[in-house]
Order: sequence, then structure tokens, then C-alpha cells
Amino acid sequence: MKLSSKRIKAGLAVASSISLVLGASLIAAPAQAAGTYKIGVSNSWAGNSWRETMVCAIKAQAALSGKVASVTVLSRNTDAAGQSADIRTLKTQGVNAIIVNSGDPAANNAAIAEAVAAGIKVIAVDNAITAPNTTLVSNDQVAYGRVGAEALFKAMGSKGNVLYMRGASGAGADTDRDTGFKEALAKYPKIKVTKEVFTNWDWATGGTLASQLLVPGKFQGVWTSGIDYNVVTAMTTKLKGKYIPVFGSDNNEFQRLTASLAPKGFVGIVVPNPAIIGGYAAQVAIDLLDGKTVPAKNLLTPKALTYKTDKAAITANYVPSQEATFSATLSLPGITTFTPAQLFRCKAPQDSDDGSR
Amino acid sequence: MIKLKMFDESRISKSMLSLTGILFALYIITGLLDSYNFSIPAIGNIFYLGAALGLLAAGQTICMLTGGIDLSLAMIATGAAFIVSVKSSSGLLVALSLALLYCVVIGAINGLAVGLLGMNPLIMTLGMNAVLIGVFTVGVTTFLQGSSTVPEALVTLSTASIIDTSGWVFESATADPRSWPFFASIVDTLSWPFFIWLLVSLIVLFILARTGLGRLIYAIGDNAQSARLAGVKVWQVQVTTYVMCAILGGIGGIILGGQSGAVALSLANSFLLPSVAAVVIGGTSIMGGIGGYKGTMMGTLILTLLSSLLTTINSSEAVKQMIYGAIVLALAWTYAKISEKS
Repeated sequence: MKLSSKRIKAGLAVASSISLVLGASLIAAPAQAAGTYKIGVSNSWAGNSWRETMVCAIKAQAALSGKVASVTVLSRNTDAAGQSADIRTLKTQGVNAIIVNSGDPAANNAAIAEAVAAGIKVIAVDNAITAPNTTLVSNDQVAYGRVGAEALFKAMGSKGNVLYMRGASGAGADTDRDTGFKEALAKYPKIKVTKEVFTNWDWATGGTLASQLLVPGKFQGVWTSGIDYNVVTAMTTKLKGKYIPVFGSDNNEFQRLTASLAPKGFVGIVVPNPAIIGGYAAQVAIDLLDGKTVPAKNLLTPKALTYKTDKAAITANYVPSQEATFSATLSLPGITTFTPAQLFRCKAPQDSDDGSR
Repeated sequence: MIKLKMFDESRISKSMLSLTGILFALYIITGLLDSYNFSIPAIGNIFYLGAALGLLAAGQTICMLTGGIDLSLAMIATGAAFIVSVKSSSGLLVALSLALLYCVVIGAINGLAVGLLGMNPLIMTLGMNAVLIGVFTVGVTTFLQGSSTVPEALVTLSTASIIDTSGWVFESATADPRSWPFFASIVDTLSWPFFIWLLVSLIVLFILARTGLGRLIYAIGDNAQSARLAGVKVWQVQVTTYVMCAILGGIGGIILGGQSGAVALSLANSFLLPSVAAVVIGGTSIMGGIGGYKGTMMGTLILTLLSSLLTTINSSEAVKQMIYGAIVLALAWTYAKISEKS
């Protein structure tokens, strides 16, 4: 591969201009709107369906409140250094509150402390952070692991072998879910975890593992940390359609399969891990800016849904217009106020000149 | 036609022999850890799982033989599968045509940028990958909105056995597959994805070894400058190469999507590095001009077997990562040693 430096330079120039254009398109230009609060969002994982929905929920809730002038989103795949830079950028832009979904529990603490010192309200969403004087809004991951495991063990008739498919080793949510799972396991002496694997929350990895491990007779149930529907798909071939119970999340396709395969004997256990928790975080940010007292920890406690007992909810949750991994929980009663249409529109206050309010 | 010395035959056969040895050794180890891995369904599963990787790696092989690389291949594969799924409401043929069009367009842009504008393939395709992620992230809420459930016919083509055995052999499907009748196991193991991979492989091998295009691919990978001076329109070969690569990636992506049942936007991401690794393990030079698809097929099977081996081992993720890294390094070292000797 012989390349002149001129060509490499040209390549670099095009690549950097591409990344500039991409970067610029992710920063929404603040403009005047009805409210006065400016909210900043720092998200460390772009292009992920769950995170995109979370961001849209923040925008939708902020737009509906009438109190927010702008939502500035800095969303990209980055490490702690990059995310700290994003948090500092938001501070420079003069936002009043920052909602951060942090890629690391402690690595952004310095940047967050600077923001807190400047009087900015910092709300950690989804992933907890250790920085002081911040507010957490999250799904209760310990309960998520426990509630799902209990429902799964019941569906298995309180006995048999479990395939335990965890998320990413060392991630906060994975550790918490494992704690909950083990709590439930202790109550069921005849349930055995005969295989424990990590999907790294990657669909292809989870699918490969399911194809390798699902052998007739080997397992009586599967606990998955959100990589769910392709495990069910693998059973069609690998178990010749003799489905065993699977605990999964509120992924659109998993809920569809839970309903459509129920007549074939499939028991799907849906425990929502709603992405629209972003809307909750936005509401907490607004409450804090209004001067209201908000607890330091705000956790959503999940509930297990099965087709047998919650047929209507599961059928209603499936959204045919959305892709497979869409986090199909459309409202948090008593917390979020947006309609599904407003959520899908994904408009921040500064760009809601389409009459959505 | 100019006579070109394509590769050193003795070296290739020697490395193929050692790759076969490595594959066999891995197989024995995997089987010793869990005797289930010696069973026919388990062997069938290696081909079932290897198909998608093998197709992606086929694309990567062609690119790398020209001295290029395609780092946008995972998003091309994911994109093709996503388009087929979302657009299947307007008919399977329409959906497949759109996916093909997508592959051709993206492949052509990559090829034109590399061939005509002289851009570094590494940077061009990395940039293309970033652009595609952006386009699909926006597309999901706009022009590609809809259910990404893969149509039934494609799920069958990506997962099912060629001969439908469901009715006649496995009444007690909860029983251990090792107790299944021998003949039935064999028939059950011949899956569509394996067949498709085999078919495409034969075409790729034929193109590389027996056609003018194949010779030109080796020629420009060996020395683009002298190929150009000899009258080869290098850019045309490169455009063809990247289009072919994209189409192979697209087929691999659709099979991967079918095996998942529905398409996530991260579908093929974790296959990008293995698609490069399979080619390198198989003995194709990243500088181009040396190697071929036979080696890549062995590389694919080795990586698939390695993944199965790691799944079999009951140890922490950290240990598994170390084993994976060590084995890949050992493979690279072995190959370097063999090349040195000859």
C-alpha cells in the first residue's frame, strides 16, 4: 500500500470534515422559546436505540413543560475524557441543568464538580455516579434482576437448570442485576445456574451464545439481561420449537414474540427497563430548577409482566411502527406527560414550531 | 493478457496444511472439554454460525487482496438486513432489490473514492462507517421507520435445515441430540446458511482463480503502479472490488438478521474485526497480492470454533479474553514462522 502523503492528507481532510458535520448535527442550536431554563444532556453512547429514546423523552418532556427554553444534546460514542469535555462544554454554554448518562461511575466527577460549583443542577440518569450533590434518576436494577428471576423461576415450576445470560462484566447495571438475581436464587433451592455467560449487551454475541448453548434438555429457563428476542428465535431451530421460559426486557420484538408465540407454549417474562426514564430525569431537572425538594435517589421499581396475566399490557406495548430493539414502554403514569406521537417526533423546545405543544 | 505470478503454490499449500492442523487441534480440545461438541449437531452448528462471518470475510478478502480494506462492512451488512426487514411490507422482491441497490451504491462510493480520488481505504471506509451509523440512526425515526422483524422466508433461509426434518425424527425434542439417529442428525445438520455460504464460496473461489477480474485483483494488490503502466484501469477494478465486497457483506448481514429474527442497528458490529482476523489468519497479506479465499474459509472456521471453545469454558470473562488474545497471537506467530521458512 504505497500512498503519497498528499493522498493521506486529502483522506484525513475528508474524514475530519465528515466527523465535523456529524458532530455539528448532533448539537442542536439553542433558540428562543417560551420557557427560560436551559437543559444540557451528555450521553456517552450514540446510535443505540435505548439511548436515543431516552434523549427523545428528555426533549419531549421538556417541550411539554413550557418552562424550558432549550435542550442541548451532546451525544457521541466517547470515553470518560470525551464525556468530561462535553460536560464542560455544556457548562460554558450556560445551561442551568445537566442530565448525564455517564459511561463511568466516577471518571467524570471532576467535570461534574465544576458544574455543581457553578450552580448547575446535575442529574444522573440510568447509570449512577459517585459525584456528590447530584440527583439520580434510574430504574431499580437490583429489583429488575430479582423480579425477573422470581417470575422466571415460577414459570419453570421452581426447579430446573437456568442459562444465565448477563450484560457486561463490571458494568454498574450488571452488578446490580446480579445482586437481585442471587437474592431470588437463594429462595429457590431446586433452581441451578448451570451456565453463566456475558453478552456484553451485544445482539450478535447473545445470538451466537444462544445458538451454541441451547441444546434440547440442557436448560429449563433463560434469564437474559436485555438481549432477549434472538434467544427466543434461536429456540425455533435449536430446540425444534420446544420453547422454554425466557426472562427479557421491554424490547419491541420480545413483546411481539411473547404474544405471538404464546399459543405455541412460549412463556416470555417482560420486565420493563423503560428508556423514557429520560422524561423522568427532565421532570426532576425542572423541579430542581423550580426550587422544589427532590430526593437524591429516584428509582423506578419494575414489575414483571407475563402474557397469561398481562395480555392487554403486552399487546398494547408492541409498537409496529418501531424497530425491534425499541424500548416499548410509552408512558410512566404520574411522571411523563407526553403522548407516543410527541415522543416519536423527538423535538426539543427550541425546535417545536410544528404546533406539538 | 499479461502473465502474472499470482502466488507461491508451495507456501499456500503448506499454510493450508497448518491451518487444518490448528482447526483439528481446536476441535479436539473443544470436544474434550464437553463431549457434546463431538456430536454431529454441534459440528453442524459451527457451519451454521460460520456462514455469516464467512460471507463478510469473503468481501474483506477481495478488498484486502487489492491492498485495501473495508471497515464499513459491518454497517453495510447491518444496513442491508435492516432495509430488507423494514421494506418487506412492500414485498420481499422490492425489499431485496432495495438492499442490493444500497450495497451497490455504498460499495461504488467506497470504490470510487479509493480508486479515482486515491483516498486511503482505511480512512475512507472508516468515514463511511461513521456516516452510515448516522444515516441509519436518523433513518429509524424517518425514512426507515417500521418493524425490523425479518420476513419469514428469510428467517427460514438463514436458520432452517434444507430438508425439513421436524415432523419425522424428533418427536422427543427434549432428548439429548447425541441420542438422535445418525442419519437424521446428518440431514438435520445440513442447514440453508451453510449451503448458501458454500455456494457463494465456490463463486468467489472461481472468480479469484479463473477469471480475468481475479487476476487483476491480485495484480493491483501486488503492484498497482505496474498494473496501471501495463494498461489496467485500476480504478475500475477497485470499484468492482468494493461493490462485490458490499454485496457479499449484504448477504452475510441478511443471514445474520435472519438468525436473530429481527434487526438491531448494532447487528453486525461485533463481526467487523473477526472479518478482518479471519482473512489474516487465513494467510492473506494486508498489503495485498498474496493469499486467497480458501485460507479465509479456514480462518472463519477457526474463529467460530474458538468462540465455541470459549463458550464451553467455565471461567470469568477476563480469563476468556486472555485466552482469545493469546490464541490469536499464537496463530499470527505460527503463520509468520511458516512464511519465513518458505
